[in-house]
Amino acid sequence: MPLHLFKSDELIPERKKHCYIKAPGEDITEFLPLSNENTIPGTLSERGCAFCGAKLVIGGVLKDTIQMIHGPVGCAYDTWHTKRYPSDNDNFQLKNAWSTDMKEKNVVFGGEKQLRDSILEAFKAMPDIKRMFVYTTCATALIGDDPKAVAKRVEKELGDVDIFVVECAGFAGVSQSKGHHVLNIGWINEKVGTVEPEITSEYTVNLIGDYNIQGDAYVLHSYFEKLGIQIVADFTGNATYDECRSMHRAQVSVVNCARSAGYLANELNKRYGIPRLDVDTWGFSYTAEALRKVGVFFGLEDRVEALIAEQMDLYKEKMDWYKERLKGKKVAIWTGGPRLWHWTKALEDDLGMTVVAMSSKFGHQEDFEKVISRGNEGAIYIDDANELEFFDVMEIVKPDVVFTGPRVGDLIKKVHLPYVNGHAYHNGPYMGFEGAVNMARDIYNAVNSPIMKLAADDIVAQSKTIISES
Amino acid sequence: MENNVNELYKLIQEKYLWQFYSRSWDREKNINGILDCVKEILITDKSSLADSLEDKFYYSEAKIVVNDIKRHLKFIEGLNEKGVTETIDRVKAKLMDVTVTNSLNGELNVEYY
Repeated sequence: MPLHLFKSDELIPERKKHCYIKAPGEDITEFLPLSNENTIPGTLSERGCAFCGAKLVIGGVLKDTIQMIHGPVGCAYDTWHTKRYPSDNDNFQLKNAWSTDMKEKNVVFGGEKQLRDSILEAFKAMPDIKRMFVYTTCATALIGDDPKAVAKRVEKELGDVDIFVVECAGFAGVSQSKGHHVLNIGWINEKVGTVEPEITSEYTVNLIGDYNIQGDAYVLHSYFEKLGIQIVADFTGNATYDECRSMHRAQVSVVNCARSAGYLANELNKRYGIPRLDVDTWGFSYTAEALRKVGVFFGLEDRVEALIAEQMDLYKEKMDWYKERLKGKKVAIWTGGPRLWHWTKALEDDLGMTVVAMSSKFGHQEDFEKVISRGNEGAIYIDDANELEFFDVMEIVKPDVVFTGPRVGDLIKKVHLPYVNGHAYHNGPYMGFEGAVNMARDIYNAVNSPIMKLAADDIVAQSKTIISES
Repeated sequence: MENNVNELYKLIQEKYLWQFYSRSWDREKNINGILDCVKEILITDKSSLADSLEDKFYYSEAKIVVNDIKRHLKFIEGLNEKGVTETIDRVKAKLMDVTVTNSLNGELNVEYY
């Protein structure tokens, strides 16, 4: 079956190029949804902005860094509270938000003084913190503020601070994906190679594209610690600013989220000869495969097999318990992009579920090549889906549960289906063996909770019937 | 032979991320580097790759592929050196065709990442 036009898209037929249903025998040279393109007027997109991709996804995770948002205060609010990436220093980055709080007069007369004052105020208020990201936003980009010049002056003035400026206003790209790109390339150009790490093991890696969602990094780090492998930097889960400046000293980059940080991995390869080893760190079987690859790379196969055996003892029985109860259940995955291809076969192989529909907010065609190759025939694949398409899809595939974020999750609840938070998780971590069990538990709870059935009951109508019959 | 090629191609398409790196030159390097190593391991049970980081990368990906082939594709046991070589070379050509030459991915040849 070729590209598909949903009933709800009759007035915006351009959407057909973004929606695909996989048919037997087809391959990705025949049909591939358009993606990473401008949202079509008339479609109610679920995308975030480019600034959000830089700040919310990557930069804001760093645990020792002030995140100064140069713009109206609302830009700070919307990228502060929705992600749950803890850190082992009492969650500094989750407990604070920083904004230059631009007002009309700053827009009219320029915001550079306001930015300088805010940077100085923040460093003064937090004297132990010496690192900062500064982000432009739509307002400050439009008026032509030069935050790099301001940052340079402050660095010179204070002497002991380091500031990285991300010039990626919300309108800079078609989605948050642009923010990932700008931050990646800026970081490799300006910061990687400026700090020398202390090397404590003969085996060293960068972890790239893990953001410590509800403790994912803690799980992964525990594996590497047991294997005797030093993580030079985790970009950016539970990481410090200076760790990420020293990524040039690792022997290999182990990449999970190739969408948000593949650019950095590619450039580390080109500039420093550090190969990029792409892995899936979600999923029971995938995690074992990822560890085995790393084991072969360093000649540590025995240690890896011992670790996998230990984890199997701890979690396999639990995983099988959930598999027995979830097999055959239909699931839709409506997240950012990479989780589609990370999760589709993991849910099928590990839990016996059937993935019936997948939607990506900011994935590129590379992501669709991966997910269509891994995904089911008959499944629906959509780029930048809109709200009405989601209703159409639910009517067509009738999923038992949907992985998505809270915004689309509320839409799911309207049709009395359960959703599991596919961005920040319900009760993670979801990575690794332990995480796969947590994920299975959250799916099981969602599918079996009576609450959606109860919510669908029309209590008012029932009351009237009872009253009229009495 | 045709069935063998299709089975191995399907296994690779479903499983491995290295065929879908960002650009055509990455994909081509990976397909050749990893599958040449797979071929050598299947034929000689070892790899002649040197000890560079890039070689280690090809070898670690190749070892995973070899293990999966031995676990899932029983036809491999019945192939001699010529059969292995022909199978792998045809799969390489098919992967190049699908992921590089005829790929619909508009970013494959963008110069910068």
